Amino acid sequence: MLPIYHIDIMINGILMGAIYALIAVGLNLIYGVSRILNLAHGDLLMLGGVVTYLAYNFLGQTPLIALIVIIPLFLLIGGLINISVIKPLMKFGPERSAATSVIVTLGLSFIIVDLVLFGSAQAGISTFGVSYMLPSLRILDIYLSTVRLLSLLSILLITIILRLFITRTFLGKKIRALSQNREAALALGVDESRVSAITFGLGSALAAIAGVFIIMITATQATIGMTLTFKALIIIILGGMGSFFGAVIGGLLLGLAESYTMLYLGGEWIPVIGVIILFIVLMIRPRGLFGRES
Amino acid sequence: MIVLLCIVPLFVTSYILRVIFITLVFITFTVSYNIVGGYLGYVNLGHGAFFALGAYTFVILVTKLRMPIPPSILMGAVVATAFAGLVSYPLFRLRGAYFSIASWGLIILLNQLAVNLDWLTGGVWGVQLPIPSAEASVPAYYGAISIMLLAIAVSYSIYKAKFGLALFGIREDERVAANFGVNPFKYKCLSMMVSAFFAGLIGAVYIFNIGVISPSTVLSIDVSLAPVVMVLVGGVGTLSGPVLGAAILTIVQEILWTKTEYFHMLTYGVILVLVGLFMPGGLVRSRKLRRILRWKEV
Amino acid sequence: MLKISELNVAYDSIRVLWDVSLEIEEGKIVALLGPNGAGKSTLLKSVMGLVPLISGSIEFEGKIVNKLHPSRITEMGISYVPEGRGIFPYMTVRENLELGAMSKRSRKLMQENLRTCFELFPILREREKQLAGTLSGGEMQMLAIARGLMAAPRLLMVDEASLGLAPIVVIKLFGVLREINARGVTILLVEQNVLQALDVAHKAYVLESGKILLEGDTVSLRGHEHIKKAYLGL
Repeated sequence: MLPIYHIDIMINGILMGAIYALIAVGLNLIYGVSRILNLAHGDLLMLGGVVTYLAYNFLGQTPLIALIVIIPLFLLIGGLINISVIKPLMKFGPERSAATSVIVTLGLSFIIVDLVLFGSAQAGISTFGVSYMLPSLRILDIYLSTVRLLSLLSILLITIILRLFITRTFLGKKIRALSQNREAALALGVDESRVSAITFGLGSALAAIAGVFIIMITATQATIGMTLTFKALIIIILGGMGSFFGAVIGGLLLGLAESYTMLYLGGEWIPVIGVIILFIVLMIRPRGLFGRES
Repeated sequence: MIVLLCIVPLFVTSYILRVIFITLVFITFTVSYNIVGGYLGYVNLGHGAFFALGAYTFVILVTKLRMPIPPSILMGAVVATAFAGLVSYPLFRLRGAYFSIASWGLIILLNQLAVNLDWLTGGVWGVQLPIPSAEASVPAYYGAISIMLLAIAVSYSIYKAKFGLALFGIREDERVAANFGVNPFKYKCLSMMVSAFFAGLIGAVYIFNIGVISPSTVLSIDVSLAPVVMVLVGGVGTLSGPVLGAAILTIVQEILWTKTEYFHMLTYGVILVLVGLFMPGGLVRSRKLRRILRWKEV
Repeated sequence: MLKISELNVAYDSIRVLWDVSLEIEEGKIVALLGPNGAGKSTLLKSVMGLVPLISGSIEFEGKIVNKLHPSRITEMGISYVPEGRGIFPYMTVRENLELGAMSKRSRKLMQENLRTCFELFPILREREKQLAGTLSGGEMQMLAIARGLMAAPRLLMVDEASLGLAPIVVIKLFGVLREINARGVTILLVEQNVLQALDVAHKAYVLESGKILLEGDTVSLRGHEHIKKAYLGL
């Protein structure tokens, strides 16, 4: 029987992993449809966290309420970003736009982060945290954090709903079609711009949702965006590009790896383990666990 | 022009000398980035890691091993180059935006290592060099001039030679280039190593002059991503573009940024978005500008 | 039914089609023949609205369809089966078919059209739940054509259906095309397999280097000198 603290580590790892999975799935969706990786994806997560923070600390609203508000809000924001910034890019054709998209989304990231930095400096805050507490659950001799369990359940629910959306609805099928064979999808009459905008909104909303949960677990700063986008990348490569299931599994694996790194080596080594995993996967099996495309 | 640069130290204040020095450093930094980011077309967001590695190697050698200055500077370049060769293997398995995000991992990695291995690097607070800055500034300045000229010369010869042609080929269409007998990985790895060499070299010289190193000075976003913005503004994949972009932006930086503490990243961000959407070729490539100034594209 | 007049198309600055004009009568099968790179696929893509035109007009059932979005074109009753099958490998056969019914009109008829497709291509019913990527080349082609039918089109444009398929499969495939035509669907067939195409079509055009070289009914074209020499190896 594992020592008690192991269960805690595992729950933490799985929770972080689930959150990471959300980020990765969102990024994967967007890439599949538009062939563009949004470098500002992690910053949208950070913004989701900021909204939750503001809602909790200044408006006294629970994170659940924030979650409900965030979903449509970021669907909209993502769609707007797509229409204003990404769509003009796609006119260059899929090859050129990939190169320029790095530049443009990077710029977007800078703008978002700096605005938040400025705002937080004015308000005298340097980190955001939401210390939302619920009475602990007691099972056998173990005290479990209710907030964490609820978060895990919520993420599970969201993932299932998302999966159903992608496989059962016609729009979901259009999204899959575009990512599996763009030419054919266009030939069938799929409205690429519209689907792309909606998917961008969807992916962004997923990132923001992840932000809600992260801010309840750790204190976050305005600059975590890039690091989290990077982690999403690790997950996508580990799990395999283009695979929903791969993103989920990859996320869980990374979460667990980080949790155990925290236990044995200390928290400062967490970013390093991510990079090491990435490089090892790239060297040994670049297509990842369930990879679909090259 | 070069003669002018050489006699400048005799006439100007140490402040202006430092500004010119920093400009030279960033020009070299950007020119070295351009080999991978511009010629090869792979946006290497981790280029700053080579710069930082050169700087840290120099500091460690000088303070811990008490090595003399010139070989330490050279070792900075060597370590950066070796590192570049090593990480080429995993990194170049990726392309496009995937490559870019993964290359950012180098910065994350180095940043964390610099903070964690504090017995070596001085951790978050860094290390102070036991060299009085007055002694360092003039030799550093001349060092910077020569390195910059060397970098530009190498960049020029790559541009004109078959090596450059291979890089352009890979940038335009990698599969086609491979069919023509170009071994893509060899060229990618080599170009990364050359660009790392100069980044490491100038990183060491930079720290030699500044006298203080810490993760926040050499691994910050400002510094690490500066070349990306500068090349973009000046002209991607051209010869004079990076020089122009670096020169303009460094001077703008020195003037603007010392005025306010905020909005550094914001300005970079806005530049990136605007240039990316409207002028993806940069200043040198912009046809309108060229017509105004009757410039030839180099 | 479909009237293309003086069509000029270019990719970047490379001109692909030069003043191309062709006409398709309702209820017929028309073949578009020509060598690789002649611009045949481009022609189909322009009808579909996937490629911008420099000049010229495309009229379908009396309406000008030049500047319309591909989704509108499918709604108007034109279906395009692209070169290379273009199926979605990680979706089931059934899902692929469902995606063929893009317009609201065809979605209402989805069940009925699925039945028709399975009638015409019984092998697809067998493989209904399989991932499309696991099908053989011939089966994929049938799936692609069936998917095109799911849009309940009045004009079906098929691009290089016979490519990479064994002759027996091609004969079977073209047999099905004849049946589809008998059910009232007009067909525009782009083909490299000239012999089979002339067999099944009523009329044919020959496109070379972006220009229409020949046109005529297939009976007379079969005896045409150029056709015999260049395409039939006689």
